[in-house]
Amino acid sequence: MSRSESGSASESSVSILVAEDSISDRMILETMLRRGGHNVSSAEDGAQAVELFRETKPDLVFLDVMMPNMNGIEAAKKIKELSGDEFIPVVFLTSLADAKSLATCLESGGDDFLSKPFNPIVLEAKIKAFQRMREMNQTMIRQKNLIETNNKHLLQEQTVAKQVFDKIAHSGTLDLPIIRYYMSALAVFNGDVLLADISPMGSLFVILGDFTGHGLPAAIGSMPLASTFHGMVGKGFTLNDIIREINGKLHATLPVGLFCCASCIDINFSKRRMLIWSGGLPDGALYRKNDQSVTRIASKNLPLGVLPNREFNAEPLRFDLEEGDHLLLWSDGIQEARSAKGDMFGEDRLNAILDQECQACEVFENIISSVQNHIGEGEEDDDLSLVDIVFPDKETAEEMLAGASNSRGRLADWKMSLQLNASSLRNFDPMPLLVNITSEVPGLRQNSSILYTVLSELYNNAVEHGVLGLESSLKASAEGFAQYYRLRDERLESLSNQWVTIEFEHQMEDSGGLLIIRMLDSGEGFDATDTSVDSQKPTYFGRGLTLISQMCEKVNIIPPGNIVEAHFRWNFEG
Amino acid sequence: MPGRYLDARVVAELKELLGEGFPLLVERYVGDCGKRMQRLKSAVETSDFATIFHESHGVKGSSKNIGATRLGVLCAELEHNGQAEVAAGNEQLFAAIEQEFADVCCELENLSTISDNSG
Repeated sequence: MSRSESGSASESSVSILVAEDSISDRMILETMLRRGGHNVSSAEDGAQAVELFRETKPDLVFLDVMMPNMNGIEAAKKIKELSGDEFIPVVFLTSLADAKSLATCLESGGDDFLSKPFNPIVLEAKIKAFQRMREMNQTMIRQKNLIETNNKHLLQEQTVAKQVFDKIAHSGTLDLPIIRYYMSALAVFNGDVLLADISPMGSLFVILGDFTGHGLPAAIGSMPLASTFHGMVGKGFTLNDIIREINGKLHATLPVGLFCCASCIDINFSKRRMLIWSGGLPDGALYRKNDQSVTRIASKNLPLGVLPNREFNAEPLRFDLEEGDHLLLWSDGIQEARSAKGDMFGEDRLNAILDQECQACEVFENIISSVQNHIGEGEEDDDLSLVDIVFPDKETAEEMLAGASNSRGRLADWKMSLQLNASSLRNFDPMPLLVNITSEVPGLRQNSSILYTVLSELYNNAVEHGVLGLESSLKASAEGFAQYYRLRDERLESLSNQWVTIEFEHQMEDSGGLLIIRMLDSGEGFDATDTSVDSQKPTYFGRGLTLISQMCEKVNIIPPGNIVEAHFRWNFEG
Repeated sequence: MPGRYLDARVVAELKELLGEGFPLLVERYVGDCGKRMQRLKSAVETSDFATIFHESHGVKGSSKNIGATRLGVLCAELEHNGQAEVAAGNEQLFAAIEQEFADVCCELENLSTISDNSG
């Protein structure tokens, strides 16, 4: 040994605990270690060693096996216990040679042996080797802790997100007796969405969607999909409108490459028809009970969220349905289900089941059990979804509709009156408010653009001709037009006691409803016979009442002409 | 100076390692092992195998460390008898150990009074 070999650099300095009862051996070892640049603390027996270990938290421990006051074996056990997850190597100092003794040392937690006489080169080599192991171990513990923290964090986030998600994307009325479904989730969030809701017009709406990916990216898309679906079905929008709105929302919010393959259906029980829009999902199947035939429903459109709305075709297909007819829809997880050998379930196996002669109501079970058999011990690598809807008999349909209407508050039969006085006539546009109120009536919302025209014509007539006493004939010429608006502004400014009252009275009917609109004004009224003149000579200024009478079932002008009553009768589906 | 009882290479390394501390090491070895030898002596007389095993193991380790290789070998024999609880021949063995230890101590003490450079 020479000084140049042993005078080792301090960058590899290690803090070392030595426990050795033989004072001369301890002295030799301490000196060797200090010469190697390490920090040494020494104990004379096992008990002292454990005590010093607690105090100094060394990187490495040398323990004599046989010591008074707790031998090395016991001390090693305590020290390993105190180290916990951290790797602090324990090296036994021994010249014990029999295998049994060595085994006892290892069982107590010892990591290595150093025999006497001590050799400084062997000693330094062991220290370096254990330092490398410790560094690796520390890196591993850091990474393990980091992964644990991240994982905990991720799970917390997913739990919170799932709560929010479940509130928004509740499945609605999937528990209806005519719906059977099978869905399997790969993650906390499923890439597949199945929602059902009954509309105020007595239609069952169902949407089956398969987002690209699963987990959070899929859930992000399902939120606007679900909230739009439930919101619009509940307000009585048509399938066409709903699909278009969802497409627009997904197209605007989802990044490129993330979209939703979907089929959306609207089954109306009283009209015994189904409207279906399909994009991107595998072709569905419609089983006819009567002739046992199967019609495949082709999915002709691009998935939701791919095209901007101006290029999007939301036109659904129409099928007439009869009691006992089954509609089956599924996601591509069915065809792509893999067996343990990696073999896909595939289109052919599925078609074979569909072509098999059997009762329509058995197909659902057949597909599920075949796919599960096929997967066997393999793992599902996509979300599997299958839904079966059967067209119900009249009684079941009525029960379902009754259940649905009880669960939702809606504006049906009602009456209201709104009086606008001078300052409101000057500054307030009542149209948004009126349209908003009438939109609360399920089904009437679809008519809101027509209703808007009717309401705004009636209101403008009441203000301009009734309250302000302006002559529409003025608008015949360009100069008159300007004069008309000048007078309008002047007279509005000088209003004081004048008013317009708008009265609504609404009643639900079997196929729609009747909204009676009464527009009353504080003016002197006008000669109702003028309207006949207008209708014969349709001029720009005179279109008001003509248009209204075309849109409404009935328009009455009640003498002296300051009350106009319009009967607006509407039907479900516009 | 080549000795009869000590491994010259080990002694040289220890002197190099400890420098001025070498005489202290000798003093500690002689004191520590001296006490062990006393305990060993009475243990051999009473055939207290546990103590025989323990103390001869201790003397063996320290002796090997200081270069007293033959003493270490003799102690290993006694240690083995202690572990195996064999009484026969222990008194003779201990007598040999005692003699060897005295010679080792003598040689060590001579060495520790000579200057470092001569090792």
